[in-house]
Amino acid sequence: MNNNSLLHAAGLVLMVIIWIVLAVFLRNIQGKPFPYPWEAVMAIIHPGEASASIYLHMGASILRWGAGFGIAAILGCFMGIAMALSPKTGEIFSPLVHTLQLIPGLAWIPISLILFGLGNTATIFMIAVTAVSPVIINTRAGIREIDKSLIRAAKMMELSSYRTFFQVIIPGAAPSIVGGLRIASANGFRVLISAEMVVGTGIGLGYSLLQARWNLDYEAAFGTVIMIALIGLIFEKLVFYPLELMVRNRRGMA
Amino acid sequence: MKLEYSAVNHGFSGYAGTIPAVRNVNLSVDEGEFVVLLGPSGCGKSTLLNMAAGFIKPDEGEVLFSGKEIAGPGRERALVFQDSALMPWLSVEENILLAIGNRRLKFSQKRNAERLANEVTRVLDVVGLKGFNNAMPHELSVGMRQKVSIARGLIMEPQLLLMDEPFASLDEQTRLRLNREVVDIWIREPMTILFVTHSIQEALVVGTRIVLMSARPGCLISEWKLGSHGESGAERQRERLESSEYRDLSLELLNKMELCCPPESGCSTCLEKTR
Repeated sequence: MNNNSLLHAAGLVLMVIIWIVLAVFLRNIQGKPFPYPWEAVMAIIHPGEASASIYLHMGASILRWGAGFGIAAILGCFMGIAMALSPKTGEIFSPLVHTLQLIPGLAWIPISLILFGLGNTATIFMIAVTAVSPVIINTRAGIREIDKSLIRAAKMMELSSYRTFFQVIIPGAAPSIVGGLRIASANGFRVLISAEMVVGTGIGLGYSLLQARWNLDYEAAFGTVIMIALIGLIFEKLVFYPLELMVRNRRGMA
Repeated sequence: MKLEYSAVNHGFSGYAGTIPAVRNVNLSVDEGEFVVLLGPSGCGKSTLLNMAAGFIKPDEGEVLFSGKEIAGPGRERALVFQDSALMPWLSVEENILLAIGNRRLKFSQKRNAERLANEVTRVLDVVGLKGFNNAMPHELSVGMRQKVSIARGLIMEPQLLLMDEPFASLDEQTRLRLNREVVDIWIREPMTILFVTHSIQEALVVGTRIVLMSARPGCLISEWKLGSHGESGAERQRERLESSEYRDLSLELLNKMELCCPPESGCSTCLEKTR
């Protein structure tokens, strides 16, 4: 464990302390049913009789998010590459993509309900449509910003277009592409929770959060928020951190 | 295998209209020569070099290599870029292997792999970077990166090596050392070199011929044959830096670098300037 991990842990401990102090204050002075951290954790471990297990909610959410993010990642990379390699395609789609980026995820609710009705598909659509634009923008920018002399070097070596693409253009744009995927995954995850609260299908973390609110089950609501944060954190540490390390450290970027 | 520029004119268009960069250049570089193209910054010497590399087509006139017009970049004309242009995500060895089409040794057949490994070892040895196969470009100094760039050029077995101010961003001691080493490489690996620089001292210590260009629009002012001094880069450098003949030449170059085109070239811009 290095120094930074200790500092990260210290930050988490500080957050828990603030939570406890806040809970003590709100309970005893204002009389609000603000749960303690351990109560929230207990609510995750032993959910109420009526609600489905938190693991089922988690599984459903992760599957939806995975599908939406997967679609956004694949479509976004293809679009980004096409827009970077063909300037005309780039100019045609560029205003569209930048407009898409401005639309908040929840604004898609009516459209996705008309298109897909209540259910999984509507949620997945909303995730994909909000996650796709950062992937496109970063992929395109990454390719366009590759050092011109590297492209010239590839020409000088008479690399085939296949080699130029896979051994110069894609690795050259990789840091930017990974950055785009990272933003996309966070965007998608946020939309997922909100979408589940509105377009819910009876299962999912967002739905569980809303249900907890209706039941005035604040322990469960806080527990769900903890789970949402944990999933984000685990994904960040297990997927994007190693990926970023791979593309950045090898070329000496800090 | 001769490089020839005949009646080359070229301009760049921008916000200020078309700016003439190179005017009426006639130059030929013979096989085995080490020609230094010397001139102030922005005089169009890199433009001439990029024409030889095949990245720029001249507006007028033609650039011929082995009697054929240069249509585009090609492996027989390797270029050492000013900023080395190594792929930052590939190791030294992988960068060099990329130039012969195999990025990793293990993917190819065993006999082929051995031959390629020997090739890489040989070119790294020539540039004095033995044992640096697995180093990453960012771990190397600027000078070492340029040497890898030269090694990458060498493995392509080019007939012509083009060097675009390769040591411009180095300190003077390092540059003089690399100048010696380039001469040594040229002695060991017979090939034609066209070397672009704005440094008079560098021009004096490396080549067999100096071609002086004027400030923009670049015309060829004059040229000097230097003869092949010494058996090694170190000897050549010492002899040339110490002789009074070369000190005089350096002053002459310094004075002429301020000049515009010679009157007989009929360059209208220059005639106006001198008037």
